[in-house]
Amino acid sequence: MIKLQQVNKWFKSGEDRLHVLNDINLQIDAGDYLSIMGPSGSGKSTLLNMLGLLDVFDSGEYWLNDVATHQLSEEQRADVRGQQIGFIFQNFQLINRLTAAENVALPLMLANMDKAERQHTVSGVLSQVGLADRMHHLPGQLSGGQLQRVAIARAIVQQPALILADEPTGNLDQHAGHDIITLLESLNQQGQTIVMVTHDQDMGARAKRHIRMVDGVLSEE
Amino acid sequence: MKTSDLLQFTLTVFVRHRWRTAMLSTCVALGVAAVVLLTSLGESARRYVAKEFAMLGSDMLIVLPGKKQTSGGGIPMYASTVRDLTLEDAAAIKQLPGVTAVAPIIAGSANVAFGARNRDCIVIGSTREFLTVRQLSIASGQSLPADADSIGRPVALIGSELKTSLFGEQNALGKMLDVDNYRYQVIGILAERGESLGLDMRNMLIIPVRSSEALFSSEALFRMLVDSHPQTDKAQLKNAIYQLVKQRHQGEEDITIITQQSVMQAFNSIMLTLTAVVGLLASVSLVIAGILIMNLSLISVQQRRAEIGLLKVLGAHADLVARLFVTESLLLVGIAGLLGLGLSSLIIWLANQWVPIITFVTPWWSPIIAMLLALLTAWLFSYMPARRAAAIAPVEALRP
Repeated sequence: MIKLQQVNKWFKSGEDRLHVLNDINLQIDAGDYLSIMGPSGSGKSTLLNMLGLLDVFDSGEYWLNDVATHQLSEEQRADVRGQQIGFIFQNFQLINRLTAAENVALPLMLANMDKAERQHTVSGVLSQVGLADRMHHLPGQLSGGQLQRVAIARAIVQQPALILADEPTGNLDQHAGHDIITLLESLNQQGQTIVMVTHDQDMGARAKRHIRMVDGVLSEE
Repeated sequence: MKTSDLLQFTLTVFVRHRWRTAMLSTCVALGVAAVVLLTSLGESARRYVAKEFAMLGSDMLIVLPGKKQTSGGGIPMYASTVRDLTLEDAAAIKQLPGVTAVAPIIAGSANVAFGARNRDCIVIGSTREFLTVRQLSIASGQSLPADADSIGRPVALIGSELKTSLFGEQNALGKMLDVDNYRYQVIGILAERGESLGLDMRNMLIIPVRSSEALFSSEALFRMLVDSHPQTDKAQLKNAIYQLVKQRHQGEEDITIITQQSVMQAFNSIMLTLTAVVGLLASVSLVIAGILIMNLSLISVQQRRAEIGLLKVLGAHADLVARLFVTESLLLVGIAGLLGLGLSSLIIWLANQWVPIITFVTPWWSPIIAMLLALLTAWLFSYMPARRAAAIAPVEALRP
């Protein structure tokens, strides 16, 4: 499903060039649940941004469902993001003026889905993440765990091929974090492919595959 | 994103940033109202003056001494000529077919006194036809004698305000007035008329035209007003007067004839220019509102970087992000503009209640121009912030 071949990325830092992704080769199959761990600055988030088509690499190839994404224009990359990738962020990235349902509906709005169909879909997904009774709440009225559930609902509402989670439990207490990981596990059990970046050894250990990154070099444990 | 969703999404921004929305709306509404009100003021003034000219009647021609040759499109107020226009010319013109009345005018200013009170005022020497063509009426007493163009009787008609300032509550009829070195008996008081064509009829003294020749030591007419049958061809009559006077003045065409139509055309063009100028001045307020829109939009782009990044992460194209910001400005300005139109309508309605002398009207094109100008300003000034928002890289925007 995902194939990275000899992917390299450099960042400029003053006069120096930092090699943040060093000859990355990675294959992820449909239904995989992968955790990427490593120290700060090791290139975990950069790799996730590459997988999410949020950033471009300097050399190499990235195939997603047989599409050569490295050859796509910015607009085409945006279309692939909208249709095939769901994102979960450490700080939730919800729009505060929109209700939980409106936040979840955003990807569907961008995909021009009818309002009635949209409401039905959103309602189903929010029930799936256990927030059926919080649909019309604003983010300010929800707890951290609930906010991340809304973000997960938004990530899966388009039934994407891949979910990318960047430190999904980083802003949550242990109990709420455990619940979120359990929710991701259940999504994976239903066939959802998930790639998660985390600092937390315990949370990362619960994934099916474990990748370690140090100084831009990837190794599988 | 569907248009309905785009509008709904934008409305949530207005509700969330309600103070910013209220301030911007007020600014734009005032700008639109200013454009409409100032152009309405210009148009109302134009109509008021046009109405005043219309009261001259379309059958009237004004004959002035002197030939207008190089003075352009304006009306010659004072022209110089070697041959004066005289009462004899007026009598000859009166004989032309189609002419119903001729009011010769000699005008000047003089000191008018009654007892210890005296005033400087305009003195008109004319005939009783003057009252007819200028639609003046006598409130009390009688009009000028019928032989005002042949005998210089020492009689006068007095304007209502001049009467009050000289006589107070006393009856003025029959009283003698000192006008410079002459004495005139008041035989009539003009009915209240107010200002007309720049002359305050309430402060005027009218005497027989023959009397004014002596008063101003001149037989030269200031001008003459010629009234004609409604069926008379005005161009033909104008030509006939030119020919007649030319014949009487040894072949020299040394007069100028203006019609109500030509006066109104000249005045209309002046007033339309004036209206356009005040409209343009008011438009400056909309440009200022536009600059405010740009500044606030730039701040908004900065404040909403994370939101812009999120939309891009979720698959929004750069042009949709730009459209979001432009739509926001256009929608806000559209709503505020309508409020401005409502405000200007209310002010014009109130003005019509409080100032009944002038009818305040809004020219049909004014609200359209004001709205288009406001929307154009909104589009122009939100374009740059919108492009800036569209150019933000999602990965940059999401960075805390």
